[in-house]
Amino acid sequence: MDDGRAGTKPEDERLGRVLWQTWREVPARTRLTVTVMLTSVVVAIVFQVADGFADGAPERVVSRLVALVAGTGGALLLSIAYVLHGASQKLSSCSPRSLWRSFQPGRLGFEPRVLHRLLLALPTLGMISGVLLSMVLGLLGAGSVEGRPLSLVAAAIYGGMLLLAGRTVTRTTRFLYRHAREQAEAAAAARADATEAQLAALQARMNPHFLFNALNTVASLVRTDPKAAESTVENLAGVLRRTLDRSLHTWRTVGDEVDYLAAYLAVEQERWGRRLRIEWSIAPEIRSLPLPPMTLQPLVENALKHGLGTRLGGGTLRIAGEKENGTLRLTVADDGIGFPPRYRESTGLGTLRRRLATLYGERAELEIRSSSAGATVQLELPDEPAPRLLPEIP
Amino acid sequence: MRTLIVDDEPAARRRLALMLADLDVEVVGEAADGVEALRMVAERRPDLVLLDVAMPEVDGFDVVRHLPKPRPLIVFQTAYDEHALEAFDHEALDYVVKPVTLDRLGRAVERARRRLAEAERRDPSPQALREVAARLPAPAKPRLLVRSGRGHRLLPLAEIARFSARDGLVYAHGVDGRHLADYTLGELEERTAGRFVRVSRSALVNLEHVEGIVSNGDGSATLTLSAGAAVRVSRRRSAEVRQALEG
Repeated sequence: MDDGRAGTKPEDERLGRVLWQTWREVPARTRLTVTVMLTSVVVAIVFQVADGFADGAPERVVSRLVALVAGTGGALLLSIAYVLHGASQKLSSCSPRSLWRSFQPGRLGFEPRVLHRLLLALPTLGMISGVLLSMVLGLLGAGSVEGRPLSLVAAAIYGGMLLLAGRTVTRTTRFLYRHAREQAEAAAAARADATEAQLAALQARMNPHFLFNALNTVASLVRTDPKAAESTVENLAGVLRRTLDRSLHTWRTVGDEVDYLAAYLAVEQERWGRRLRIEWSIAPEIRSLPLPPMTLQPLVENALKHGLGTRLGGGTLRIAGEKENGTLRLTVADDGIGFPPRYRESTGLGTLRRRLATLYGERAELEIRSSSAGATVQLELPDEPAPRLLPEIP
Repeated sequence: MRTLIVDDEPAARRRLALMLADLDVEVVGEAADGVEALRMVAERRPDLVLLDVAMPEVDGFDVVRHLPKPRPLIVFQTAYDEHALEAFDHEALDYVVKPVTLDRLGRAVERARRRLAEAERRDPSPQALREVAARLPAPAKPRLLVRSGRGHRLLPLAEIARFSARDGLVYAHGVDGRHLADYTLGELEERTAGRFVRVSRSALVNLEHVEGIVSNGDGSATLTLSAGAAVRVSRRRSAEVRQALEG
């Protein structure tokens, strides 16, 4: 999983293709504005050229040529900026979360990534086009437009476009500012979730009930069944080591989580005796798939505490994992009493749901089915190679 | 001194049995849950019960409440929990903390011996038990212990249509008739919150068994239940009951 980024699409597409694709996707109003703009440039050039012929002064040829090149370049840059601005407006109408996700490196395909870079260049494009257009206006002004109606019209068109350039710069800056703020908010939310999960892990690590219960079990077994006592101590050490190891910012594998649960459940099994039966069904090929740490543990803890723990005869805990059509499906089920009526999501489950939403967006599903015959929690995650680190929080 | 061990963890029961043997205490039985504990107390008449507090469905406090008279002495076993221990101390209940040390168990047994010799039997008051129970986490209990003949049985809450109080006794009305329950309506209301609703001073009704509600014109109402019974809803509670039925 470490080489997760390899084999994805090439880093950059050609600018032309990106522009063409963007052009096709921007709102119709933007396309209309750009068309009018480009037509105006053609008109302005025609006027300038016609004016030049009417004037016939050869000493002005150089300045006219410069004005022509600068005017055309400025108008072209302005159209590009306009199209991109339209695209960014469209993007900004997405929810902040999906916007945030689409800007995360490596999350989506080329489009938003390249767009993101171009987006940052928008104010620069606007500025350059503004400078070019002012230059043209200056040149035309120096050439004195008095008594030349054709040049006057060209100057008016360039002046109009200069205003447009100014507007593009302000709007884009405002948009970028808003985007930065949303990104910061999303990052803060992600950070809060991570902190909460870390806290939960810390509590699980230090969970006095689990520790005291385990120690009580070991104390009981030392006399009656020294071998079982030994293996329980080993498993307890395994749980503690793995909990301490677990940085919540590092991806783990399904196999790692399964091994952790195996040690955890072995300790519980000693305590529960025949009241707890455990059925494992983990497809071997999913062991190497990436999984955020502490994903299944809260589900298992829930099942033991609420589903089976309150039943005299205990019950069966089933932990299953399989891969199907690019989806990793993990299931924790019990045949206990089900979630209580008017059930409110426990902190552990709520935190897990939010963490998954931050990591996978809408592509992760957490489904709870519960009746008086038991509860099933099913987790569906996209089966994709993950980056080495969980998304870096800026 | 005849002693009964009650603990849902097999290894813990074995350990206690060995420790009690070291202390020259006779063990008359080991029960793995509350129901078995009540049965063994009735059959074997122990002098002392080492009673685990946290057990599924029928916990230590439920067991104490249903103990037949004359009651044996009780020493609770509890896991570490600061608040609960404070309450145990405050209500002067005898307890040992798990995992119990031989020394601590020895002292608890010694005290029990003294009390038996002096016939100083002091049952924990229901109030004291409630105080302590309130400090402990209360996991859902889907079944309720009711009297059945000379013994007890566990009745699923889903099968109980209603509870009624009459002359200081509380009855659970199940599919096969009514059973005496050793709880007050207030306690049952708390224990079944979300599933049952209090409809009057003397009745608590299972929401899933309600088939209809008819207004009586004077602000009160009448509920019809699936078993065919009709229960009066007091004026004071009728708005609350309607809300619960809609929720």
